[in-house]
Amino acid sequence: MEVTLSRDGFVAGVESILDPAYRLATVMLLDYAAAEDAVHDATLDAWAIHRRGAGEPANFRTWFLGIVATRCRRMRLRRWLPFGVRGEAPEASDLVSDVLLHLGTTARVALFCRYWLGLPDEEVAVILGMTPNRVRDGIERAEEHLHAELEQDLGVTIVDSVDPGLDERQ
Amino acid sequence: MTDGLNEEIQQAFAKLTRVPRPHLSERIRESIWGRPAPGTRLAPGVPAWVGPGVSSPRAGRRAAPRRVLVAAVLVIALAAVALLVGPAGVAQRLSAVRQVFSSHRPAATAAAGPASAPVAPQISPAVSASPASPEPTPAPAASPPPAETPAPAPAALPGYSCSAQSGGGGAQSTMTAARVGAQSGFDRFVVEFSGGVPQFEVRLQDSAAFGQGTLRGSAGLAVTLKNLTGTVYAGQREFRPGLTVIQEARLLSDSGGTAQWGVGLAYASCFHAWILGGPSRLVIDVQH
Repeated sequence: MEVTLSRDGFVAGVESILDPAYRLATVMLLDYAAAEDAVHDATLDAWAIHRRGAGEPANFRTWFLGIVATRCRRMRLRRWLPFGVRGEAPEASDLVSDVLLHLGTTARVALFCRYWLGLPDEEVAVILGMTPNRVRDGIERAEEHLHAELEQDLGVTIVDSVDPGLDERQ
Repeated sequence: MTDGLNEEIQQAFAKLTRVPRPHLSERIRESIWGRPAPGTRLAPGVPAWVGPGVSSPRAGRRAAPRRVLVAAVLVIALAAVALLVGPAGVAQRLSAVRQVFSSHRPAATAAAGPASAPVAPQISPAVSASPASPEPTPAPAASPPPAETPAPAPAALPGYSCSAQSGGGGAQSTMTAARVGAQSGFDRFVVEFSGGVPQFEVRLQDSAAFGQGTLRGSAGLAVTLKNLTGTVYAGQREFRPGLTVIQEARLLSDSGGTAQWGVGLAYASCFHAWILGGPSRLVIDVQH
């Protein structure tokens, strides 16, 4: 997406990806109100960087989501307290969401970027500020953990590559 | 990963997250359009060229060589001085410098401020600093030596003031939550309300002693809220975060539609009280 240096263009660019940005912040902070604050503050950061910069980001979405993720990490590191005590934290409604909530932040965000946003590992790496290999490893571990939890709960083994026509043939 | 599980993960994220409220978009628009000089909230060394994925940590890494350069210049200067006056002279001067810094620490910290000191967002025109109120003094120094200059009043960064600040509306509302947090260059104390932000006044005082008790720190902020509904506040009443400036925050009293929060500060520092909507919040930023 190409973004002009005008405020209108910038705001329009941000608004077009406000939904994934807010969801990303929620997944990182597990607090709806804190996620709003993070996205708001990240937008100001992004606007300041954008105004200072001579060039334009080639991929505005990835660039902006990276700034949101950075802001969220800062909020966590600086202990913008307390998380989830305002009664607005996401709650698990099934086993999968429960496992996701109890994953580490990086693993949860990596899964979110891959499965919700549908981003390639390279873009996830840019957002999370790590190498694509680490992203892949993190996602694999998170998937293994998810499998293990589901198997334990269901008492069955999940086959990774299921032939969709197998049941019909039998 | 099976397609079924893939879908389950997507559904789980759909349940865990939600669509942003329209308020967020409005808030962003307000902030962007009400901010004529962007960039002041960022750490120094933010790159001029901005590409995909460029974020502040990377900017911090790019700023590192500048710090190294400054350190190298200082080392060279010290070495030159050592050659000229000898090691004993250097030690004497260093101890003198240390003495000066230690005797002025609170004021110096406030006056110098971080290079990335934030410009407080100009969101709420309802907040006003009262010029009639007396300028608070920093933590008193007990009979300083005559040779030293007295510690000056804390210097206010743009958007901050040491004067009492008041504002808020006339509508009745109820306190629902409070929290304390550290930010880059300032600490933040937030009180959240179910209605609008009620009438408030924030006043800096040169001790952490309030009528209802003494808080941690050597200075304090008295936050008075009026025109509350009288509903008993059920949230957290005491915080001891031990941040750079904010040492403690406590709900000192809450009765008859008036509440008072006390905020204990490590040292007297200027602050900025402002209002945010959705939910309504009184935000008090105390500069480092």
